[in-house]
Amino acid sequence: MSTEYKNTSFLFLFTALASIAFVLTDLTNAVAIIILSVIVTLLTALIMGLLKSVLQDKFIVPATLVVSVGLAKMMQLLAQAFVPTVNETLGLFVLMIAFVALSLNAPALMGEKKGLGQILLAGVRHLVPFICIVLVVGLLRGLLGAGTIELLDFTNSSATYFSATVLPSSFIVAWFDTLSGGVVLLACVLAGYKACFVKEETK
Amino acid sequence: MNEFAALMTALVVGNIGLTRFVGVSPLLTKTLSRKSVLTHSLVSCLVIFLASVAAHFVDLALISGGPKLAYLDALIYIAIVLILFALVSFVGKHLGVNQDSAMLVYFNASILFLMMNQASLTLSVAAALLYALGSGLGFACFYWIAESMNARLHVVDAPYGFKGEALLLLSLGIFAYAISGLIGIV
Repeated sequence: MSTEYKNTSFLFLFTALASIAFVLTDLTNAVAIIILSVIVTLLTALIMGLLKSVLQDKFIVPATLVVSVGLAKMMQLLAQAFVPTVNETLGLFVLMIAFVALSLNAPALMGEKKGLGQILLAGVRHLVPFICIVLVVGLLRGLLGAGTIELLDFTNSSATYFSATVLPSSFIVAWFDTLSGGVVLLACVLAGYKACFVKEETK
Repeated sequence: MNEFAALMTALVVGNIGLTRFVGVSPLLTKTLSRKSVLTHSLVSCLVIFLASVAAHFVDLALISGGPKLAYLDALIYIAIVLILFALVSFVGKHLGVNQDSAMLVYFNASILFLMMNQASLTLSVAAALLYALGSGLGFACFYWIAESMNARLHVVDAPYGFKGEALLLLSLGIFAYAISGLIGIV
């Protein structure tokens, strides 16, 4: 199983991204997803880093799954209590963040033995491109789908941190607000990322 | 929601693969032979059907009814998923079916989403069974179509950035757009 995880860190960046493309409609949602993903991924890495030495290899994926889903559920309950607008917008997709955490931590948890520090560092290393891609997709979808760049206050949906109308309404393509538009945009961003930052493998 | 609507929603317009892109990850890991695709489609169909049926009754017994453990729903559902996968792996091993746990694990996303989604619908037992059947068949069809698409796209001479995963996502996005035309008709 570990052979499939080799050299696939790029792949893991977006395996779970397609799932959350549905709710990645603007910058506000992108920031919410990033915050939740960072917390769940790092806590999963921390807990699994501690548990890895006492678990057999075949139990690592199921255990990571249980830990990440538990943490994602905890985040959902916290969001429900403190930032209900985020919870309403993301809905069931908050739980999909568990699979982002699983995807981002899997390369470090699989294969050869690594210490807690190395697992955490690998989690952080994989989070950086993930954050960049989510931010760019959120920004572009908000821009192309609604013509605005705005970051709403999570605790008060009527207030904004900043808001700017960039495109006039005649230039807006509402298709980018749909799931298919989002996935196409995500594919283009990923292609751009891959072309710029991922070296082509020599055969 | 009546029985026919439940079946058609799960099979076409609410297909978890095509309309939510949940569980698309296994397609991106590698291309498979036709036989493996068929095996994975059947296994995922069976697991999704069983999980969906289990989700309906567990919801009635533990989450919306009984002790009302709504705050533990995700963990209960993931426990069902893990039990089902252990069962499928065990049976598969004895039947000599090549099990690829790395790929199957990502179906968890689709199954968890499906179970959570189904719990939010209030379906009769017959509708729930048809919804489960439609979900399983729908996902298997989606997997078959997407994997066939993936196999063809791998030989396309595309720019480096688009090669592989991005091109597949792009194609699936356009395909989902076409399917979205059926909303309101089916």
